[in-house]
Amino acid sequence: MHDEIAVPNPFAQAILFFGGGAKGAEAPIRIIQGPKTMLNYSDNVTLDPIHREAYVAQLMNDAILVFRSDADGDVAPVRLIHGPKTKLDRPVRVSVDPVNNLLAVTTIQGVWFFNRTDNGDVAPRSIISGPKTGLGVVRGTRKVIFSPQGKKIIATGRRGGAASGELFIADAKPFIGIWNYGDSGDAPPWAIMPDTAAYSMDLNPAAKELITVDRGKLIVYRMPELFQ
Amino acid sequence: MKLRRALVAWLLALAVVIPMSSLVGLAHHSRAHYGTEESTTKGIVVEYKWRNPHVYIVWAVTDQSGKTTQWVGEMASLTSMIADGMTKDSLKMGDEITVVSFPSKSTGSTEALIKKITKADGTVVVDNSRVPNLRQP
Repeated sequence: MHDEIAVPNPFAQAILFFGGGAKGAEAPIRIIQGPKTMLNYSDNVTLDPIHREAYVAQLMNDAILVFRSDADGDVAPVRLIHGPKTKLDRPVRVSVDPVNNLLAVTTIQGVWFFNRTDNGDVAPRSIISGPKTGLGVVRGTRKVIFSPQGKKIIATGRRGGAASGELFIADAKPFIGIWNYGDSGDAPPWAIMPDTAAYSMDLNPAAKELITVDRGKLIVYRMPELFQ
Repeated sequence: MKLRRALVAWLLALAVVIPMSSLVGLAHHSRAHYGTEESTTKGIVVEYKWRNPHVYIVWAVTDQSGKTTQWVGEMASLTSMIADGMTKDSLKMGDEITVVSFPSKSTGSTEALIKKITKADGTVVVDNSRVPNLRQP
């Protein structure tokens, strides 16, 4: 919508914005960076093109920061989700459904859900976490995305290992799990793509596709059921 | 003619994509080449690379004959290691450490996948077999 690429620089505590056609050693068009930003370690940036906002999880501070995505320089976040009521435990990545006012956060324990506009020390509206979910603790729950059309939640996880208390990554098998909107607690996935690793993923609603990226591979699945 | 042009374009695209894929693969590769037998060594930190896609440590191990071997240990991404409690300051050159790792299956290789690192004072730097300290969700 705005033809821009946003990337975190975790070593410089910054979010960089590039033009959509940027290539080579092109300079960013904007940088959010400085003490007012409260940025520390950011694994990922999520953009909400409708509300022109950028969301970043702060792994080391247990916080979600929301910036205007056209912000530049040393600016304070417009919203901050942080505090004991949030129960955030090492949040990694954020996804937003601007249509249904939802915000999902992957943490070391599972997926936390807030209202998109939540601010301050607020309790999550729901949490998907527990042994039946396959999410959390085995370094597998990195990415979550929404399918607003199909009211589906898609998240990466790993199975095995956790049940025996053995967390070594080699023992756990990756999968992509799919839940329905409204699922919470120790809810098993509505559907599973077993033995499927995805470091990141996204949807192409026009073609009804799920696109995953892992270890140099980009894979496209045609999955109309995610959009029904 | 159109078909030939399309074929040439496809081959050119493939020629670009294949080397790019292999580079990415080298940077963020499978762990299948590591063995499953644990090895425990004591040594000195020579280098600590706090970077993506994986954190690395190089440590020097001296055997009884006085021969020193440098081992290269692979960990997970920064995100995973921070979630496990590590920081860029967790290790420094000269630290005495005990490393539990899974050495490569390749004969003569000194690469290993790190499972646990403990400092000489008993501080556990990282332990992948330990259940992380979780807060009540």
